[in-house]
Amino acid sequence: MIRHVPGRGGTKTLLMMNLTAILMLTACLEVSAMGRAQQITLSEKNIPLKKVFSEVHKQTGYLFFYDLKELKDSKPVTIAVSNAGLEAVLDLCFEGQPLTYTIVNKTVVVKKKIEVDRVAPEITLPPINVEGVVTNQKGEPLAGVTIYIKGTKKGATTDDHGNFRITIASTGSPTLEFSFVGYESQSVKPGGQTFLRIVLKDAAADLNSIVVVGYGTQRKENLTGAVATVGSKDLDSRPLVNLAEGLQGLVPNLNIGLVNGRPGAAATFNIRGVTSVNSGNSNSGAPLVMVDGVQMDPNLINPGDVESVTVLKDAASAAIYGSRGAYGVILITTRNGKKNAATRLNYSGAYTITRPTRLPEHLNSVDYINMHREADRNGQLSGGSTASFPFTEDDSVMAARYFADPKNNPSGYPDPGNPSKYRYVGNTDWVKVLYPGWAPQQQHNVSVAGGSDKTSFIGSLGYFDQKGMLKLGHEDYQRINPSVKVTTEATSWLSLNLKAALNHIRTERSNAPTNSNANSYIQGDGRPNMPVYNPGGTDYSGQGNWTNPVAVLAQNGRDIITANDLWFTGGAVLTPVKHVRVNADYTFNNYSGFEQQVQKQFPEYGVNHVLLDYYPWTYPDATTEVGTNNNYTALNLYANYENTFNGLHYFKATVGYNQEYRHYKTVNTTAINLIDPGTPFIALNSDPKPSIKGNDNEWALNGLLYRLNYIFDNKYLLEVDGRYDGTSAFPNGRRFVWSPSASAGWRISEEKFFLSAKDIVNDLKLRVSYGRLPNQQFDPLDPTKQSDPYIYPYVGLLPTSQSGYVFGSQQSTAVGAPGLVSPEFTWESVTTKDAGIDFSLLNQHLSGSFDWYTRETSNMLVAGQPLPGVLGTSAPNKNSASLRTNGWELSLTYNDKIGNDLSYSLRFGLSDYKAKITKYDLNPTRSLGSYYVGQKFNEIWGYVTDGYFKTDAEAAGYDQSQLTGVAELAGDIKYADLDKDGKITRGDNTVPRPGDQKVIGNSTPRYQYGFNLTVQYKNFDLALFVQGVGKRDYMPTDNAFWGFQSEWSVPFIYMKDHWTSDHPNAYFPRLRFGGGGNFQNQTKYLQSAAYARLKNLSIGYSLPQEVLGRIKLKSLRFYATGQNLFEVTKMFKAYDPETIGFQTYPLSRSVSFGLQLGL
Amino acid sequence: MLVFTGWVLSSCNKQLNLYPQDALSEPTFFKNANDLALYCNQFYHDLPQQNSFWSDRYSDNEISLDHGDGLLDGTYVVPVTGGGWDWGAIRNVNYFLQRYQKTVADQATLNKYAAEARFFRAYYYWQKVIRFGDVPWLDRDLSDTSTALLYGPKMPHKQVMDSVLADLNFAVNNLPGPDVADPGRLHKYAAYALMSRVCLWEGTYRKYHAMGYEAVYLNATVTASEAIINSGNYDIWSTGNPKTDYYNLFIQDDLTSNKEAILPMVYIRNVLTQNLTRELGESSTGFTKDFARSFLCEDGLPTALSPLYKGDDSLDAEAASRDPRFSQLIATRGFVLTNNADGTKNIFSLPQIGTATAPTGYMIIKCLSPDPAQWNAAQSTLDLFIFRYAEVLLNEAEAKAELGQCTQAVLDNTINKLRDRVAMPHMVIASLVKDPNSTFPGLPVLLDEIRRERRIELAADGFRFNDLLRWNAGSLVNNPATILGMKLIPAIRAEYPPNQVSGVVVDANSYIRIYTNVNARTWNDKMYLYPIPTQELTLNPNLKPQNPGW
Repeated sequence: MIRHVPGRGGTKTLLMMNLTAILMLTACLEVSAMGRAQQITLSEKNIPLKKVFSEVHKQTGYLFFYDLKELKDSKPVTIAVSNAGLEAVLDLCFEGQPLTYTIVNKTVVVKKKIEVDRVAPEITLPPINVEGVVTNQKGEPLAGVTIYIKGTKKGATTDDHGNFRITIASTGSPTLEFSFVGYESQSVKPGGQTFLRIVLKDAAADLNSIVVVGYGTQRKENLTGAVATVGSKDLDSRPLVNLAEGLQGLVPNLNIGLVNGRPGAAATFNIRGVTSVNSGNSNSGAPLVMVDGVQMDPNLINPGDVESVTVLKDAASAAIYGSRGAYGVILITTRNGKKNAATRLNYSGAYTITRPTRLPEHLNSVDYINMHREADRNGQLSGGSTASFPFTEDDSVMAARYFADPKNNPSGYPDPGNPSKYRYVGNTDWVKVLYPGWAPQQQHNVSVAGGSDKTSFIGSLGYFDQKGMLKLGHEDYQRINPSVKVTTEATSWLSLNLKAALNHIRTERSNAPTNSNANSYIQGDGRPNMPVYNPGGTDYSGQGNWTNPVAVLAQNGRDIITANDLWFTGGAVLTPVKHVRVNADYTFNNYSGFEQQVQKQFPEYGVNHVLLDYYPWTYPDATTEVGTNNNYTALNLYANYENTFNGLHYFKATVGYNQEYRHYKTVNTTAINLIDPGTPFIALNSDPKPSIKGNDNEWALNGLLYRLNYIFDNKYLLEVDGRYDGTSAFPNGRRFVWSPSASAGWRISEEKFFLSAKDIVNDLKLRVSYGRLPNQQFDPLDPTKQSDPYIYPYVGLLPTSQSGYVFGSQQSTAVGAPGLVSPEFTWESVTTKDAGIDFSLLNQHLSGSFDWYTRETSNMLVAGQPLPGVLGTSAPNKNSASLRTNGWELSLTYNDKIGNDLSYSLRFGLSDYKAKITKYDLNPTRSLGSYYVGQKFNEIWGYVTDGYFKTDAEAAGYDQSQLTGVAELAGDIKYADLDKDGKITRGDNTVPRPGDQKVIGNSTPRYQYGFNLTVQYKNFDLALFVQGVGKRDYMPTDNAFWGFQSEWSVPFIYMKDHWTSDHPNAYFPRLRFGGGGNFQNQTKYLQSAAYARLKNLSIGYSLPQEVLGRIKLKSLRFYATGQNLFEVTKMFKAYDPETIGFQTYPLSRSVSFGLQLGL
Repeated sequence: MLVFTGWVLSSCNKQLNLYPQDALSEPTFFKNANDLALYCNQFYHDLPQQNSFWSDRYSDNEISLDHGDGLLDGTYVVPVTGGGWDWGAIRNVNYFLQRYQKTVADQATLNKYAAEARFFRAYYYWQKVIRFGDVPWLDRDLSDTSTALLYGPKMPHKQVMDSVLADLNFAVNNLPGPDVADPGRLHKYAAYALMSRVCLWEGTYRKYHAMGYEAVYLNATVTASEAIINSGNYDIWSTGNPKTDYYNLFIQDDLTSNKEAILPMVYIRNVLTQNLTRELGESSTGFTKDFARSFLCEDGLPTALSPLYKGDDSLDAEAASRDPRFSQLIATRGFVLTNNADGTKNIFSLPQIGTATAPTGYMIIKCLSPDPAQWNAAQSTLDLFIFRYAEVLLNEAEAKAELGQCTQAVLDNTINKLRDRVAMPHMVIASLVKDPNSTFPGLPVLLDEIRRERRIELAADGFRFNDLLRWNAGSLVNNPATILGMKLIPAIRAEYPPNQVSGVVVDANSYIRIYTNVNARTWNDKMYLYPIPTQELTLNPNLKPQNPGW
C-alpha cells in the first residue's frame, strides 16, 4: 500500500488540491468539509465503501476525494473497530480493493490502484526490475517523469533525483514510455538492460505542440485560453493570393471577409463576431495582427513565408496586448532557419487562371426598352415616377430592327432633339464585354535556409503577379517580398537576431472615373441599347448621361500605386542566469507609398464625327500624385523566468514593456495644364495654382505587461496576465487603462484516476478564462482611419475646404466649425468569459476542442444617436452603449492511415455567434432608425408580403399611403395589416409601435463552417476544402435586385419575371421607377445567403525518392488546384453569396498549376 | 521597480501628448481678421445664384418630366428624417457669432464679419420659414446636448422673421460699400438686395395670409430697394438691341463689371465652373402653356385684348408680335442651339417635342449658350446672377403698389426701365386694362400687371413658387395649363417623323399633355408648408403640432 505519493506534500500542494477540489465538484465528485477528532469507532457488515467513507468523515472530519465510477468496482466492507486510528481503519477497508488511498493533510484521496508490482499471472518467467535515471539534455535530473509500460496500466514516476524503478515482464519485449511536460516523449525497449539512462529532449523542437503566444511561447497542452493555431502545412499545398484567403475557414470563428476580387484587394478579419456598434453592421471590429511581434498588414506579406498563425480568441490570451487586443489577436510567425542543417533551396511556383464566380446576366436592348417604357407608363398611370428621358416609339422600332439584323441596321440614329447626338438602339451585353474570360496570375517563391552550430539563416524571395478580370482595365497587381533572417549565438549567454524584409507592391489599373465605380465597372447604368462604338465608325459611343465604360477604360489615364514597406528588426536574447531569458527587440518600419493618378481628357463624338464635348469626369488632363511616408517604431523589452521546482511546480513569469510610435505623412498634389499630357509627370505643368493637400499625424502607445504561469504536477494550470496601457488617442488624465485577466485549466487526463480511460481519451483538458480589456477603437493600420478625427478623437478640429465661390479670381479656403467633441469619453471595455474543452481520442487520431464564450462590450463610444436636428451637427460621442455577443466554436480533426500507403486527415470547424444590444441610452423611444436595448444585432425589420393586388380597385381600397404617395394598381405589392388598423403604416417606427413592421430576418452569418480533407496515397495527395455559412438572411436593396431603382438603373435578366396582367404570378411586382411602395423590406424577397462553397480542390504528385535520387533533387511535387470551383446556395443569382452586391469587383474561380521543388 | 514604473509612466505620458500637425483646432483659431474671413468663406457657396435648369421646375411656370419630391402631385410623404430639416449652416453661423469677438481686430472689422455671418443667418432662417413656417430660433451653437434650447418649442413665423430683419439691419449697417469691399465679398448693397427680397416676401406673406403687421416689411422693402436705386451704382444692362439683349445678359463670361449685377456668381476656367448650358440641353423640363400665355403682345396688351395676337396653332404664330422676351426665354425658329467647332450651326426649326430637350415644346434658353466650350460638361465659365438689379426694381414696384404708393414715377423708375431694354411699351397706370384671362382676376390691375412683369422678367430664376406661396396663390397650380405644353395640331404633328411624336399625348384642344394620368393638379393648402420629419417630432415633442394638414 502506498500511503504517500512519492515526492508530494507540503502546503503548496494542498493549496493546489483545494483549488482542484473546487474543480472536482464540477466533475461529479463529492466533497464535504467538517473538522472532528481522529478516533474511529465503527461496526458494520457488508456496507458499501462509500458509506464507510461518509462515516469516517463524520467522525474525523477528513475529506474524501473519489470518483464514483471507480468506486463501482469496490467490494462491500465488513468492519468492527473501536477508537482506532484513521490509517488503521482505512487499511482495513482498502484491503483487497482495486483502490488505494493517500492522505494529504486532512484529505483522503482515493484512487485506482496502479498495479506497479503485481505480476501478471500468465507470465511464468520472473519479472525483471529495471532501474534508471531520467535527465534533460543538459544532464539535469528530471523529477516526476511518468513511466508507463506500453499496453498495460502499470507505471512509475521518477523521484527528486530523477531515479525510477519499475518491474517489467521478461517476455514480449515490453516498451517503456517516458513522458514529461516540456519534453518530447520517448519510448524505450530495455531488452535485457536493467539500468537505463534516459535523456528527454526539450520539446521546443516539437513545433506542433509549441504555440506562439504574446511575448513568448507555450506548449499546446498547457494553454488555458482560447487559442487556435494553423501551421504552414495547411497553407502550403495551394497557391494563395494572400494569407487571408488561406486562413478562411481554417479557424472556427476567425471570420474573414473577402471584400471583392479586385487584384490586391485586402480582406477583413474578425474574431468571434459582433464586436462593437462602432464597427457598423459589418461585424468587423478588427483584431490586432502581429507579424513576428510587430503590427503589420497581413495583406502585404508573402503567404509563402508563414510558418504558423496563432489566433488568440479570448480576453485572457489577448490581455497581454492590452488595448488593441480587445477583439482578439492574430499572431503570424514567419519561417526561421535551423541550426546544424545543411543549406537547402526550395522553389515553389504556380500559374493560375481566374474568372468571375458569378456575374449577373443583362437584359437585351429590346427587352430593356420595352420594360423601361412599361415602367414609365405605370408611373404615368398612377402618378409615380416617370422617365425624364423616356424611350420613344422610334427607339423601340429601331432597336428591334438592329436586334433582328445587326449587320444591316444602325445601332443609333440622330436625336431629333439635338441632331448632333445619337439615340442609341444597339444591343450590348456590357457584362460580357467587360469580363470576357480568364485572367492569368503567377507566383514564385525561392528560399534558402541553413545553419551551422551557432548561426542559422533563411532568405526568401516571393513574387506574385495578378492580372485583373476586367480585361480592358489592364489591371495588374504585383507583390515582391524579399526577406532575410539571421540568428546567431554570439556568446553562451547572448543570442542576436536580425530580420529585414521588404514588401514591395505595385498596382496598376485604369484611373477610376468616379469614386462610386472604383471597384467595379458593372455599372448600374450599363444600358444595353448603347453600342461600344458609334454607328458605322470607330468613335467610341457615349455622350451626356451615357457613359461608355469601354471608352473610359481605353482612353483615361492610369492609376499606379507603388509602395515599399520596409522592415528591420534587431533583437537580442540574453540568458544572464539560469532560468532567465531577456528579450529586447527594436523594429523600424518605413512605408513609403507613391501613387500617380493620371486623368486624360477625351472627346465624345456625335453624329458625323462632330465633337460634342469632353467626357466630363476625366476633364481636363491632370495628374495627381500622392506621396506617403509613414514611419513606425516599436520597442519590446521583456524577460522570462521559467523553472520547475521539485518536478511538480512549473513556474513561468514574463514581464515587459512595449512602446510604439507611428507617424503618418502624406502629400497630395494635383496639377492641370500639363505641358505634354503624354508625359504626365506632375512637374511638367504650367498650372498657376496646383492643388496641394497633405496629412501629418502621430500616434503613440506604451504598455507594461506581465504574465504568470503556474502549473502543478502537469495537471493544474493557472495563468494570470495583463497590461497597463496608455495611448495618445485619449486626453491626458484618461489615457491609461488596465487590462486584467486570468485563466485556469485542468488536464483531467493526467490524473491517476484517468489512467484507465487513457487508452481511449488520450488527452482531456478543461479551461476557463476571464478578462477585461479596454478598447481604444481605432485601428492604426486601417488607411481609412489615418486621419485626425480617428487619431485625435478628443480634439475638436475645424475642417477646411475650398470655398466653392470665387473671391476675385480664385476660390479661397473655407474653414468650418468643428463637430461636437465630448471631453469625457474614454475607453470602451470588453469583457470576455470563455469555457473550453480540449481533447484527443483514439490514440490521438481524433482531436478537437470546443469553446463557449460570452463577450460583453460596454461603454461603447456611440456617435450619431438621434438628437433634435436643430443641434446642427452630429451628437458627440459618449460612452453609453453596451452589447453582448454569445457564441461557441467547435473544431475536430481526425487523422488516420489505411494500410501503409493511404493516410488521411479530416478537419471540421463550426462556429456561431449572436449579439444583442444590452444598453443604449440614446434611444429611449426605441426608434427603429437606431440601436435600441434588446435589439438583436443585424435584425431586419420589414413588412409581411401579402401577394399582389389582384385588381386596381383592390389597390385603391387598401391604404398604403404612408409608404407611397402614388396610386397603387394591380400588380403592386400588398402588405399584411399586422396591427389590424385598416392601413399599412410604419407606426411611430419604434419597437413598441412598429405599425405593420416586424422582424423578418437577421443578416448575421450563423453556423459558419469549414471542412477540410487531405489524403495522401503513395506519392499522390489530395486536398479538398469546403467552406460555408449555415444560415443568413439578406434583404436586397440595390438595383441588381430591384431593377429600376430609378429610370437610370438597368435591370438584369431576372426582372423579366415581373407582373403584368398576362403574367400575374410573376416573382417581381409591376415595373416602376423607384418602386413606389414595392421596394420595402419584406418577407417575400428576403433572400437566404446560406451557402457551401468548394473553396479548394488540389491534387498533387510527388516524385518518389528513387527518381529524385537519380535527378539529384530532394523533393519535387506537381499539383493542380481549383479554387471556388462551385457553390451551393439559394441566393439570388446576381449575387455572389460571399460578397453580396453587384457593384463590387467579382470574386474569382481559378485553376492553378504549380510545382514545389527542393534542392 | 516602483521607481522604474513611475519613471516609465511619466515619460510615457509625455510621449503620448500628441496633437494634430495638419489641422486647425479650436483653441488656436479666431486669432486675427484673416481667420474671420476664412471662416465666413464657408457660407458663400450657399448664396442663391440663379439656376434656370431646376429652380422653377416645380411651379406653374415650368413642368418637368420627373415629379421632383412629389409635393405638387400630392404624393409627398412625411419623411422620417431629412426633408429639409437641416440646421448645420445655422449652427455654423452661431458658432462664429459666439466666438468672433475674441479675435484681435478693430471693431469695424469685427462688425464687418459679424455682418457677413448675420447676413447668412438671415438667409438661412428665411429659407426655414418658407419651408416650415414656425421654427425654433437659436442664436447660439449648443454644446450641451441636454439643454432646454435643444428641446425647445417652435418660435412663431413672425417672431422668427423679426429676428431675420434684425440680422439684415445689422448687415446693411456694418457691411462696407462695394467700392471698398474685398473682391467677391458681401457688401452693403448685396445685403440691401437680400433685405429687399426677404421683406417683400414676408410683407406680402403677412398680408395675403392675413397675419397682420405687413407694413413694416413692405416699408423695409422700399427702404432697401431705394437704397440700391439711389446709390447710382446699378443700372439695367442694354446694348440697344431689344431682340437679343435680354438673352445675352445671361450668357456673359464676366458679370463683375456689369452694372445690373449687384452680386454675381463668378465662374472662371480651371477655378470654378458650372454646367447649366449642358443641363439645359437635356433638361427634361420646359415652360408651361400657362406661362407662355402670360406674355403680353408687343403692343403691351394681353393676348386676349391685342389685335396682334396670332393664336397658338404653331410656336411660330405664338411667338410672333409678342414681348421680345418670349423668344429670348423660349427657343423658337432660328434659335442657334450650338455653333459647332467645325463652323456649322445647329439651328432650331420645329420645337423638339418628344425628346428630353423640350418636352413641352417651350425649351428654356435662359443661360444656355451656343458656344460649344460652354456645352462641355461642368466646364461652363459663364457668370450667373446672385442679386440682379432688375429684381430690386420689381420688388420696389410691387412693394409700393402693395402700400398704395405706386405712382407713374415709380413705374418709370422700375418696370419701365426693364421694358425699355426689350422695347416694350411703357406700363402706364392711366391706361392699364384688366386682362380678361388674368390669373389673378380679383387683383387690382396695377398689381396684376406688376406680378406679370415679375413673372416674365424673373422667369426660370427660382422666384415663382415662393411668389405663389406669399401671394397665397398655391391654387394656381390647379390650372390645367400648368401641366400642358404647346399646341400640337395634326398639321404640325405631320411635320415630324412619325415615331418621334407618336408617344406625345395631347388633350382635346391638342395641347401636349405631360402628365397623362391627371387633367389637372390638385392644390391642398397643406402644401404651403412642408411637414416636419416624424423623427424630429418624436425626439422633441415640443415641436408639435405637425404643420397643418400633414
